[in-house]
Amino acid sequence: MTAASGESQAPLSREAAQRATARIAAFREELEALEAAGLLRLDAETLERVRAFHDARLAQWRRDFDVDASLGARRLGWGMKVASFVAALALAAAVFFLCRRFWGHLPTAAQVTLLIAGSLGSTLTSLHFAARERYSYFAKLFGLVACVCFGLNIALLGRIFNLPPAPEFFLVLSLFAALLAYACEARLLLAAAVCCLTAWLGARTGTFWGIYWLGFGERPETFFPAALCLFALSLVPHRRLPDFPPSYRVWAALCLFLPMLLLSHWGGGSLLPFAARHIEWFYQIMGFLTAAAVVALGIRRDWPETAQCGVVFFSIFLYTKFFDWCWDWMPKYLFFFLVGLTALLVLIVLRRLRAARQEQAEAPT
Amino acid sequence: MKGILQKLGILRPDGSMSVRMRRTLWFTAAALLQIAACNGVILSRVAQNRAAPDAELALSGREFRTQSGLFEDSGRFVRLRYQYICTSEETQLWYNGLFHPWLDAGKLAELGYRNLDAPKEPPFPRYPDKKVWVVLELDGPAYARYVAHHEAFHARAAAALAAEAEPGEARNRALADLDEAEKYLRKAREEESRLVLIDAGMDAAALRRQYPNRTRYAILPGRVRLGISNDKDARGKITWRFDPKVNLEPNTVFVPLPFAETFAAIDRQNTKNVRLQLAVGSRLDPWVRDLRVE
Repeated sequence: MTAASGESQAPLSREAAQRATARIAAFREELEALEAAGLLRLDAETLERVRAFHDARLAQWRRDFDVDASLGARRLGWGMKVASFVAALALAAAVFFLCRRFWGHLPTAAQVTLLIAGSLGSTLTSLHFAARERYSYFAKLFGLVACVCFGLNIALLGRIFNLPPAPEFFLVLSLFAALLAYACEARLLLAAAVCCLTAWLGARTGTFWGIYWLGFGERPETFFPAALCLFALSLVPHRRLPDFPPSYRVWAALCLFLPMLLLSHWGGGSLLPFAARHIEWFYQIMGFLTAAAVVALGIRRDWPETAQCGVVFFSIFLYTKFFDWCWDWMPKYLFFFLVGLTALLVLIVLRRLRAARQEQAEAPT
Repeated sequence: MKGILQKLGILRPDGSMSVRMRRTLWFTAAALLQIAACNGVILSRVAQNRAAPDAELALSGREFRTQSGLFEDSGRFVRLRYQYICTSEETQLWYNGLFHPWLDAGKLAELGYRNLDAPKEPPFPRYPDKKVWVVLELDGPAYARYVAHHEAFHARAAAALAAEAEPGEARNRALADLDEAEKYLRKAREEESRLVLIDAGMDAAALRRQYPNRTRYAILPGRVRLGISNDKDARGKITWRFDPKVNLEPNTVFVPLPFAETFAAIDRQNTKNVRLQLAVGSRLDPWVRDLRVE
């Protein structure tokens, strides 16, 4: 991530280089507009120096990070991301089914050797492409394939040697996916790591409460420790991977709010020793309070994704309450009118908050 | 070497390594180390398990079924067939456990279900499943009691038929009862599994001390579930009771390649005249030591 105050440091990631490229393009456009309006005219020497400086940086970033220098290239870049994602999933599925198709026809020694070789080979292939930032799409693609290969490695060894299933499978897979995510700077692999970590923490929390580990999904509260853990991970400084902490915070919000939403309608799934109705009320109130607190935290700490998660879930809690209270007896046109009015009210509140923030930002220090 | 690393992009043309590349190398090295470590742990567990077997059971075709993989899965497995036996002579316990007479309140408390109040009416609390060790008995006292029960039933049916000398509805009923008793006795002696799930516990070593015969008793991982069922009496009154169930989990064992042909032959012909040597190791992980058609 470039320093917030200037461009003196070279970008340390592709995303940072892409943002810096966009800033240069915006600067050039604004400079043209100011010159056309007659408000600013740089002398030829300064203009030439600035242009040469920017051109050199753009050329270096294109060489090192394969950034998209124009709007058209950026649109193609989005297409490449989608194609890369589809290719990663398809290749991973192909490896999975290929393994299933032929593993039973091999002797045990060959099975073990091929499983380990598959994990090692795909990881080294991912490293080979990660070494060249220009081929980051391929690094991420093979990173996902490596995760599938490693998962198959562990799972099939378990089947071959008849080992009992254990939740630690998710822990080792999460750790592996996280290592590759940090190696390849891939948020897709980070998502895989987060999902596996959430599953392991949920299973272990469940066993702490005396639940068989495979049944952790039946108790939504087992996901709360994962929310705490992911939020804690987001607080770890990620100078070179600035996109990772927001991802951790979004997943933490999902692990917090989705169970709350479920328990606000299904108190019977709670671990708490109270009546289901009381538990539902508790989580309805907690849902509103927590969502509001998350919005406040996101605004205060300048975490836009956190604030947005809070707003989304506040709205969901609100509309589910409207549905519970009003749907059966209220005329439908009035119900949707009420929903629309509430949305307008939320919009007005957010506008006022935004205006207050802007005033604060513009106030002389 | 330097030239190769430069060609691979790990080193810059000037021979230095970027910060990003250093980070990538460290994380990838950690991932490779993790692959080695995880596989090492698994394979050492397997070696430890197979070095000192805990039990070895000689199963017939009655005690297992072949199971091939689904959706293009080329794996071969045997699924163990076992019974839960409860004869009518068993003591009717306070929750009337029809499948596991030994799974009484004391045993449930031992398995972690403490302070259970008898269920009165819904809604009921949900009781979590528990991971336990289960004991399988092969051709032992439980199976012998089961066969003896059917022999006694057969003897009673034969005596009832002998008592009905006159042709008529009563004699026809007695004949039908004897046919049924013969059918169940034949099934018990020749078709049904001799493998019976007789006990469960949290301490595998304690179970092994209680059941020391390693050619008759195998201790394997299982799961206990505590459900709730009801009975209705003649007046339609419903009484709720606990309905605990314990299962072997997992109950499939992989069949390695040397036995693939035998497996295929058994699968094709559905033959029961087979012998499976099932070994259970010191870590209580089972494996197929031998599989043959007799």
